[in-house]
Amino acid sequence: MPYGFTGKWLRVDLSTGSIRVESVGEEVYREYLGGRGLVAYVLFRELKPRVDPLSPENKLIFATSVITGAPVPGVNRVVVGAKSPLTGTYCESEAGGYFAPELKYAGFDVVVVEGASEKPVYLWIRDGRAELRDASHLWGKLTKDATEEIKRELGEPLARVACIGPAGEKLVKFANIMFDHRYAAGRGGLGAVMGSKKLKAVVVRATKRSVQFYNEKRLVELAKWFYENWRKQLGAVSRSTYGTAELVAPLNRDGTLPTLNFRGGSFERADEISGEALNKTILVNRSTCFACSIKCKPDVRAKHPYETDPAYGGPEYETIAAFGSLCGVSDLGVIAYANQVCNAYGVDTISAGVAVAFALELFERGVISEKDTGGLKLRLGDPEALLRLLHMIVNREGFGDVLAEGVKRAAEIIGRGAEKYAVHVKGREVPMHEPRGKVGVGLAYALSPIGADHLQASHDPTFERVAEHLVALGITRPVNRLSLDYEKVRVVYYGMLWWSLLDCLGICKFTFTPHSAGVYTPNHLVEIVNAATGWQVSLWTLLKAGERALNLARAFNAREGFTSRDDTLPDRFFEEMEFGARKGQRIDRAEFERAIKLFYEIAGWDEEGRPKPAKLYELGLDYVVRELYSDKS
Amino acid sequence: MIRVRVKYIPEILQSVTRVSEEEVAVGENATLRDLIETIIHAHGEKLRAWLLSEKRELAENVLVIVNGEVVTKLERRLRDGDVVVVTIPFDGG
Repeated sequence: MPYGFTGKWLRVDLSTGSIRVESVGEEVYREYLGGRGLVAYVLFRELKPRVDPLSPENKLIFATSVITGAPVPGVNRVVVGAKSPLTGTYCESEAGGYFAPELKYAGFDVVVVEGASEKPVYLWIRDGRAELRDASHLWGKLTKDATEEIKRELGEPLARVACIGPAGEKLVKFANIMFDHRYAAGRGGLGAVMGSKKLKAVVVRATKRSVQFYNEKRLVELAKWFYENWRKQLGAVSRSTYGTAELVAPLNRDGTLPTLNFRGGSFERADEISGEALNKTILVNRSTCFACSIKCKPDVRAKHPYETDPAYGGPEYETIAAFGSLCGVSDLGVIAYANQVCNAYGVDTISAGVAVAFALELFERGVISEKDTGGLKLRLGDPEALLRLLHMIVNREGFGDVLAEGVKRAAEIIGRGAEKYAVHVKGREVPMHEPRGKVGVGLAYALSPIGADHLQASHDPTFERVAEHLVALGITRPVNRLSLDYEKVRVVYYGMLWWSLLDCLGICKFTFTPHSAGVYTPNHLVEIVNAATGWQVSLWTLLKAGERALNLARAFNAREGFTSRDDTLPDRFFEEMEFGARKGQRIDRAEFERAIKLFYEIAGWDEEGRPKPAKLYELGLDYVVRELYSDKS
Repeated sequence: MIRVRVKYIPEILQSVTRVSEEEVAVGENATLRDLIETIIHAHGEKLRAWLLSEKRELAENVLVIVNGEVVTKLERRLRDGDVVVVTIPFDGG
């Protein structure tokens, strides 16, 4: 038996109802590790080009990695992937919690779901066995209600449940998958893919551990080191105390807190939605993920009239900013309630917040009116308008049906110049990090294989001083946050390889340096992988795996027809910020385009952003060369 | 004596210092190291592990900005009226 992985994949065809167990050899794990690597491996090899993401031809993949299940903090996220219905690109999204180790312990590294069922079903996996069960009675239910009912009917209170809500069933293009109704694989519309397959839930339970690790003692020592040292790190203590809400106040002060649909970067009532404010008002507890002592997840209870259930978790930074400063709302109760609506109906809070802010701005500018919204008056800063619009989106009612397509498509439907206010990259709504104040984040937004995403590379402030954990990654010179020169391109490239590796391994980016909250170093990661697997890999080997996965995902997009035209930012970021601490700041378009071209050259991509054959050969991806360049061979 | 303005950006630091910024008096030839020792002395030893590494250099996850310039060397000399920002390089979250 191998160490670190089971070598077993579950392949479920919902069209026929067949369930197969496949054995996968160690070489696949050595090259792809898990997570993003395996998702990209399956999608590139098995999806025909240009399939409709909501058709039975799309595949939904739940992937663990060779270190999932190790009793170590920060290494146990599940990676879910498919072709995105929001962007048409490669897509993966990660969720914390407990699902990934449970799946591994139950005997499977990966679940691949194919086809589509005629009637609603859920997949029940227990100790190496799997079956499809009827979910007709669960269709239409909110995520917590469905999760509880599944556990009750199975008599398995300890089962872990990945579930979609009504929004996924209604194919909202940014529907998410909720794990135990509080951890989200949020982005890119994977919940809609699940809904299109009539798959309400994937449920796992392990009563024994079906995986062995090579050196359990060393893994326990590494975990112990984390537990003994994290309190010495200011950033980790900050994250443990405030969660990601710690970001609100400093980003506001810095002028990089997205405000009023990205018009400015400071929100006058930011103090009311800060980490400190959250702790003092609605926080009741902090929850955590498998084996982690940081406990960054908030449980909140907002009071009447926006009463919330702590079982749905609470708003984290992205959600606070998306429904708060971005929409001009400063009531944490409203934000907590909006978060709960998203988690219960199953939609991504970032895309939902950006869609609402987009509509609010359109209304304010007169691009849309009450005729479009069915009589609803929209106003920035109006909590009732926000919540009404959100309900319309998750239920696809009236104008909500338009916004449920995501801002890119919604702007196309609306016309009248609405696209000017649609803030997205490749159709995916921009998260709550202002690239005009940290331009490397802008490069990562543009170059990411999944569209705008804030977790593709460390953010610019990390590179402003040289530290040992950066030197470990080959970064030895500080780089100014506003620079777009060759040094910035280089560190963003290295940053993308590192975070791509973390997505291959299902790692929480907050627990590893370089990150402000990080505790483990890159060299700790090498130790963890080798202790889990018994391999003797180096950081170089691992970074190559991250690079391989990134290139495979980019190759997938190239095959879908994405080109350098898509590797850009919305116009708004090339215009001056209207207000806040960075008023007047903008990204220079020509400088940005030069940086993108340089990135392509550094990465070994051609002028269209497509990995060149030589780079693909170097990464051992010869089958990608054959597929991408077959007409030229 | 010279006086420098110190700004504490992270709320976690403010929870210990009880202020978001303050004026700190240090000796004529004071360095950044002297300032940090003064801050630790004033607000408690808890800050030592957060601000300084085991090698007694600036902790890796801390960003100190003097008059708009990122400073990593604790031997940096301070001048009267300097503005020192103590923060962490807040990353994606």
